[in-house]
Amino acid sequence: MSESQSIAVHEQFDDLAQQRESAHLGMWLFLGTELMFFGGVFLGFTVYRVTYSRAFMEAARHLDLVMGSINTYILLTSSFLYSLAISTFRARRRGPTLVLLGLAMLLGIIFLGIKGFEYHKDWRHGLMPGPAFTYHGPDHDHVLLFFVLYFIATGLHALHLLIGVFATLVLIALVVRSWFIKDREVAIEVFGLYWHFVDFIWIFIFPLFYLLGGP
Amino acid sequence: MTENARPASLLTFVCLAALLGVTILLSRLPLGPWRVVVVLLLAAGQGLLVILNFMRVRLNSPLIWVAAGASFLWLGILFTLALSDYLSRAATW
Repeated sequence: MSESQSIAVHEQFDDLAQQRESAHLGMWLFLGTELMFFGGVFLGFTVYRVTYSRAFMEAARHLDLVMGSINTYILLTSSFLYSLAISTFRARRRGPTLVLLGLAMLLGIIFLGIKGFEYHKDWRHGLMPGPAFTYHGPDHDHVLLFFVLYFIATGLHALHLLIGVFATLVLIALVVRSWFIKDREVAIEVFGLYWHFVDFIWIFIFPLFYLLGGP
Repeated sequence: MTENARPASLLTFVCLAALLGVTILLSRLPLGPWRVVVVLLLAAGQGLLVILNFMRVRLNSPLIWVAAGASFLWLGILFTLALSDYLSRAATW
């Protein structure tokens, strides 16, 4: 495919800039629905946090702050690498782009691994809602509610990250096969928006669940 | 935009990492009810940095500003109306 063909503007757009803006707008509208979706979970958590404040603070102390903090740093770093990948892609440097995308994806996988390890630890300590829930301290029901919300919020986030990892894999394949095509720039930017958004959601999950329990 | 993207990203990342460190440290201090305020404000600062710099809303057109901002406006309405109910109930205090 030649360069002139590749930068063709689709017929419904006036120019490449408008085409690019439309792609960004579409992704932002999708992210808006995602924000509403996670917003509902956050609102539910906030209401119960206010209502059962003592139980939720007690429950939060059972989460692993070290693993949560490491995971937050991992996601922030992956977002940084993704944003560098967009810059190197724009500069038409295929090697660095592939390395950066690969590293960002790897960090996403490491995040999921640590999260899985944390889930396993919660399960062993009897904190996983269901038959395995064996917490017998005070405020049993409200502590259970905290862990239900915790597994819903972090589970949905992990699912989004998993989708992001697969999307990045597709993107890497696109870069390997047709990195020179100019209008692929939009694809990497739009995938990047999704990746950063998943990071953005975690930026709020982490303090709400891990930090508000207090020392 | 392309030339400036890398230093801006690095600066954003350093600020994010520093803000996260401060958030974690402050959350371990006995701040009482202020902990919630401090921790959530610092988280909002991190979120804003990601949206403006990593997601490049800062460099984008007004249309994208409106699209991105509208989502938060609706979220704000959701939280304001719901919490004005729950927080004003006598039983929660």
